Amino acid sequence: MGLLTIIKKVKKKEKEMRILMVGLDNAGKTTIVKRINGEDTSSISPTLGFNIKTMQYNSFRLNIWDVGGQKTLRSYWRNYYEQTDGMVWVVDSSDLRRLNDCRHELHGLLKQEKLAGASLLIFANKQDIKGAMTPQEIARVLNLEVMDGSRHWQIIGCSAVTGEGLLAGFDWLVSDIGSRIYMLE
Amino acid sequence: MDPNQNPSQAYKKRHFRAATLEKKRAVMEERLQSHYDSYLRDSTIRKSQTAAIADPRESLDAFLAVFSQRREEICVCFAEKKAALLSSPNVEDVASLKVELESLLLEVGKLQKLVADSSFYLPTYTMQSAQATVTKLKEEVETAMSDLLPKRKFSFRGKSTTTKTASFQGIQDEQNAVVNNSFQGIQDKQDAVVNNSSPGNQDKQDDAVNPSFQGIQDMQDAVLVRDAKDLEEDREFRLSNLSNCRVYLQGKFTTLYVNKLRNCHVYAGPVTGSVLIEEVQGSLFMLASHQIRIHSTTATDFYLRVRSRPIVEYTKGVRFAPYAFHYSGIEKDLQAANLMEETGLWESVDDFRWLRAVQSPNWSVLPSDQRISMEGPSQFEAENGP
Ligand SMILES: Nc1nc2c(ncn2[C@@H]2O[C@H](COP(=O)(O)OP(=O)(O)O)[C@@H](O)[C@H]2O)c(=O)[nH]1
Ligand SMILES: [Mg+2]
Repeated sequence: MGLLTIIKKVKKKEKEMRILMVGLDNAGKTTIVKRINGEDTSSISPTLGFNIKTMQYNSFRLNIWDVGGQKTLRSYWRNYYEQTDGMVWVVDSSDLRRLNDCRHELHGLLKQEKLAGASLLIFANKQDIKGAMTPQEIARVLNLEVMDGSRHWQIIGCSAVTGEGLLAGFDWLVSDIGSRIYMLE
Repeated sequence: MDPNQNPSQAYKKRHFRAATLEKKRAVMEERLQSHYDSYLRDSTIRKSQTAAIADPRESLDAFLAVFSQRREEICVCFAEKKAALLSSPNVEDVASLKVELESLLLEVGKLQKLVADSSFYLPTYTMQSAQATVTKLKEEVETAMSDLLPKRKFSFRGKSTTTKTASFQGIQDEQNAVVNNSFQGIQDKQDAVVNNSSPGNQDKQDDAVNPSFQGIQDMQDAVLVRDAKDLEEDREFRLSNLSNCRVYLQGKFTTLYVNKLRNCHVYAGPVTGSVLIEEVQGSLFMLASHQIRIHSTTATDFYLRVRSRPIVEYTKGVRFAPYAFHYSGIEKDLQAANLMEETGLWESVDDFRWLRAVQSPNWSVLPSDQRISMEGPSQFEAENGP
């Protein structure tokens, strides 16, 4: 990387990242986004369509696309793939019954060419619920090992209620994307 | 009592989350604050902010110009599509219209992003009206898109009622694969009629998952009562594959998952998180929760108290009424769950398969003269099953 590139990047006013929040409905996507942004999370209605949130995270400006997870809406997810730098796949770790569904949708997403370069953070959410599956168990059931070696991914347990794990997850995602698009080009 | 003091507020503070959670939250908020502080220290950003503050008119005018131009373009384009829609298009036209509407929706998304990006310098009024404009546009385009969906999709679940047993079984085998194995260990604990109707699953998912959960599954013609002492508060509860049962959950817990219930009555105390209901027919639910989602359900009545809008999807013939459950100690539980007040949201139902302004034909308000009345826990003792 030449000095010029570094200067160019540093000079760039806003280092932007586009992040897509996906996962089945009820996983906690909207709650996580609101929590990170310091908003009230006590009366969130299920997401119809999508919400975009712009927030500052360290020295980066995140554009977070929170897309409704209902069956009706899943076919529209692909409209949001363009220029996505990172994905956050949120899993409800206490919803054992829909894990097959969850695995199926995730692997479908990973096949999308437009998302090939995007870093993937998997949040094993709702760890505050007793009996929730651990991130290790989720990783096994979702069959994460089969992922192509070129994919940057990480699974982290979290709770949108306690806030546990959220920053660790976003720290990883943002620094992974940052090192990829702002340093290594 | 001091009339200025809202008792539910005070309760919320004291009881809603345990003290340890509160502590964790405080730590996190501190970290968030320090993130924010370091952001403010970042000189480049501060500069761009100062620039906007120094001359807000300039940025505002620029925003308004770009926003109204783009909105105009979208509206013109959308009007064309609507005209095309009205002129009874053929199959190919419909397909291409669908693609065009999708890309129009993306344009609306870009407009929304523009608003979000400009939010830090827009005056509140401009921000709100711009957002309202975008939301309305989005709804209109989405409505037009839902009009284009093949009608067959709407009746998909209805079909499964007519060919009841066959399709019921089929779906069950596919979706329950992960869970079934893990149910084995606790069948006896639940006094369940062991009804292993899906032998095909056994080797499908060897990586059986955490067997600890609480719930009731595979039962018929039973009255099932769980009191506070049987219910673990910080745990989910699941009801799965029940028919002709009456279930009384007289305590509070975090999450309720319901799937495959037929001709059942379920009365539950407050759920502090969310309720997810799937594939239910001819049943009755009495629920209080922060969020309620109802999928693939027919001919069922819901008596609800919620703190957000209930949503239905692939659902027909469901009716809504306010929550009216009673057991001894319910007030305390409702207070602790921040569900004491009637929010009135029980009738603000969103049908995610019906994005039009007119009332969805899939749900209605249950007329008050048809609502059941609940007389405390003695009710079920007098009955011999449903
Ligand atoms: N117990 C618990 N509940 C959560 C957590 N995250 C979200 N929820 C609840 O799960 C429900 C669904 O959350 P929401 O953010 O709307 O899910 P989305 O559909 O993925 O956007 C809400 O009732 C939340 O309060 C969590 O970490 N723990
Ligand atoms: Mg949501």
